[in-house]
Amino acid sequence: MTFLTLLTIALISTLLYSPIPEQFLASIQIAAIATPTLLLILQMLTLDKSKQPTATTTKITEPEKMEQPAAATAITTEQSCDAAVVQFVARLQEKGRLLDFIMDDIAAYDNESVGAAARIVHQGCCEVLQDSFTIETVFPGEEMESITLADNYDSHSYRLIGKVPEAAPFVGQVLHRGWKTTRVNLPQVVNTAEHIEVARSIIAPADVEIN
Amino acid sequence: MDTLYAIGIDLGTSNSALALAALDGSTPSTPVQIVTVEQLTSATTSARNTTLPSALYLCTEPEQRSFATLAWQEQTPAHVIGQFANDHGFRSPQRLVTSAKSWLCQHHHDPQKPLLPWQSQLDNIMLSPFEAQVQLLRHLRSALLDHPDYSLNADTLSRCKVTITVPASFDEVARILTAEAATEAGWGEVALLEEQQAAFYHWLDQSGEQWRQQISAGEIILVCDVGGGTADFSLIAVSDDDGELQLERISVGDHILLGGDNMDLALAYTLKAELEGRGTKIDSVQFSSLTLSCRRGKEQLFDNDELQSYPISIPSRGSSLFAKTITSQLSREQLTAIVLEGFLPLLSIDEQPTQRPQSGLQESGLNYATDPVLSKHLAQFLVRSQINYETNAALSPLNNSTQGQHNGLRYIRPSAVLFNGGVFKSQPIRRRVVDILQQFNDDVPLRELGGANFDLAVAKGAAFYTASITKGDGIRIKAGTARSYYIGLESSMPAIPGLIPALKALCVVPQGMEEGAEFSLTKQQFGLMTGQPVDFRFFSSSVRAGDVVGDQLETTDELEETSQLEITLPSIAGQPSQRIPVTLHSHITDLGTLELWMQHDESGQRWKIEFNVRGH
Repeated sequence: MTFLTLLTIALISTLLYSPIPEQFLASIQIAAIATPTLLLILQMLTLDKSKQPTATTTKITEPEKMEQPAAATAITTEQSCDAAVVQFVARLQEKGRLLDFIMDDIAAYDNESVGAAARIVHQGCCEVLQDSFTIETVFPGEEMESITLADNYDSHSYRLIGKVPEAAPFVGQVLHRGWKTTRVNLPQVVNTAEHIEVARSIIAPADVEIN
Repeated sequence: MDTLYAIGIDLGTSNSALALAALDGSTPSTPVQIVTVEQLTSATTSARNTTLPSALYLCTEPEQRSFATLAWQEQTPAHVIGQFANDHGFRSPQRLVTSAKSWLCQHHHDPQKPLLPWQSQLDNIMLSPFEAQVQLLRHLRSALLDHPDYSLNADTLSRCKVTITVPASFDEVARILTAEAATEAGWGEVALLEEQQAAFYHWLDQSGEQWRQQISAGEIILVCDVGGGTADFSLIAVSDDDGELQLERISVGDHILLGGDNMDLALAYTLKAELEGRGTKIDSVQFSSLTLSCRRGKEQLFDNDELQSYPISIPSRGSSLFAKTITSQLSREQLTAIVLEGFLPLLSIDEQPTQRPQSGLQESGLNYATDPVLSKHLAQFLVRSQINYETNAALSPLNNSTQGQHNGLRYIRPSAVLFNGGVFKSQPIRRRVVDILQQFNDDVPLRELGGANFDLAVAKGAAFYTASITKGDGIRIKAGTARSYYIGLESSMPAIPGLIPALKALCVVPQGMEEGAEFSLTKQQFGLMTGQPVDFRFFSSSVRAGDVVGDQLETTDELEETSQLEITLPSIAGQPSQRIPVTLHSHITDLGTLELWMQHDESGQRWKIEFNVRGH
């Protein structure tokens, strides 16, 4: 998990601070989003193991105050990036119930129930991904097609696996076509210390219905 | 030098959009671009999207304190507008304002009274439909001023040319309210353009110089616009004037509150009934989810011929997805039976919409269409267009092939159709409408004009139109007022107990009156009371193209009552109220709004008659 955190920071810093050739930008952006998402899900799975006792429904609770960070005014780039990722996951939960799907105990249900739930996740997450990205395959052809890569091939877009020789030409078959996005339009967290703090922590509020 | 822009605003019933084109004098014109609109997407995030859902959510006080603000907002406003308003508000319908636009053109309620959210109990924070439109327009303006791609400020924006689109079927009151809302929102003076014409201008822009090869003189083009909750039809005639093609909008339909949402709801109610038959109950939020899935299912099944059914899962309200998901499916048979055969059956031209007998008591909400069959509304429109055409020989002369006859019923036969509105993204729905029109046309083929952009055509077309009239190039659709207007006159007759004097109607604005035109009715004088407000009844018609200013109709039976007019003339100093002789003058401003004036010829003084937009 530490490795993933470091990777996230590295990716985001690359994204923010280095001039990136256009052909790599998309893959780095995807990685920058995907890695922390994975990280977050892993973290939550760990948290889940120490199950909290359920709150009694009759208890009137004073709403918890968000802990104010020590220096409430200074927002670090890291905090903003964290918040943006958490809010992307929040969107996947809001539209596609992703967390409800992941956090439930899948082993206790048959394939039919899981399949029915998967449709909700598929429909909603698909919508969120289409809003945020324009997703295409890296390799435009079909899988199992032959491909020859020259010495100056784009090593971010193509990953050579198996018996890879020292030098080009690299002749092989496309096992997986890869994915890339040609557009990124992620929701931006509104930049105040208070909202960044909330956005880093709340993925979905508890729904309280008043009749 | 500052860059100025021609701006088009599509203030839609469900979604709004903003487009612009730079006015730098260069030819060929700069392309029209969509301006993305920043809006909250959650309590803490914002995004720039191509459309702004026309939804306002009225925040609670704690929400006002905690929701994020957009860059241009100094403090959280009392409402959230756009995507988050929709996403958050559908769980609390009491606080969600949608379809405010439809309330501008109904005559039972005053659109300036706080009516929305309709039937909400939150009396003290409700909004008037007019105010809701102001808020949407203000949001669009702030988003444009704040947009990093265009360095506009209040001063440069005030020098830009702005056009707002309105449905062709909007009456004068709704048009004036829209223009006033824009002014109040800070847009200054705006021009108005019919949405269906804007869609056609977008087609002209897309086709470039090629459009002259795609349509020819003598043709009639139907603009068929079906949005989420409304359907609007217009006819545009193509004629030849010394070798140059001319375009004229010759007919507009009524404002029909029937659209794509009705189709999705009909599918959802069918599946809900099936679920209930199996003993499964769903609540209103789950029903919203079911409706959304039905829309996806409709689109998927229409897009993919091989798919026989679309499985639907309805999530539970709680977090337990595996245990409590409810499943259903939308079959192709259901889709065909409900959407194609229910809303768009192949009918003969003489099947007109049925008016359900009105029950004594009726809920006084929006005036939804009582007959859901769009084919019948289309048939009615084509028949009424023919009636309108026959009343006026000055309309573009039509080919015989564009006029049809069926069992003595005469109607217009369009030769091509241009689609607009999200419903028509599905090709089978477009094909079905073409089939319906061909059936009306005795199987004479009918073309679909391609290159439509079903969501953004109206905003883009409005920006294109604004740019071309500002530069003075490009073709213009001859249009003028879509309706003729009448003032009710009480007949002078001896009083007879129990008999109300018949109301005659005097034409004050003819159909097709163009921007900048003025008419004076000097032959006839009216006695007008000074010193007290005087009301007039005001009527309109979309099928009396032949009436000219001064024509009198013996009854108002065939006219629609539009609104009341009000005027207060000050008493002449030192004299009691008295009747003074005045003459009537009408004027269509350059921006496309109607003004009526009364003139006292002796003194030369004029007073403007205000549209009384109070309900009646």
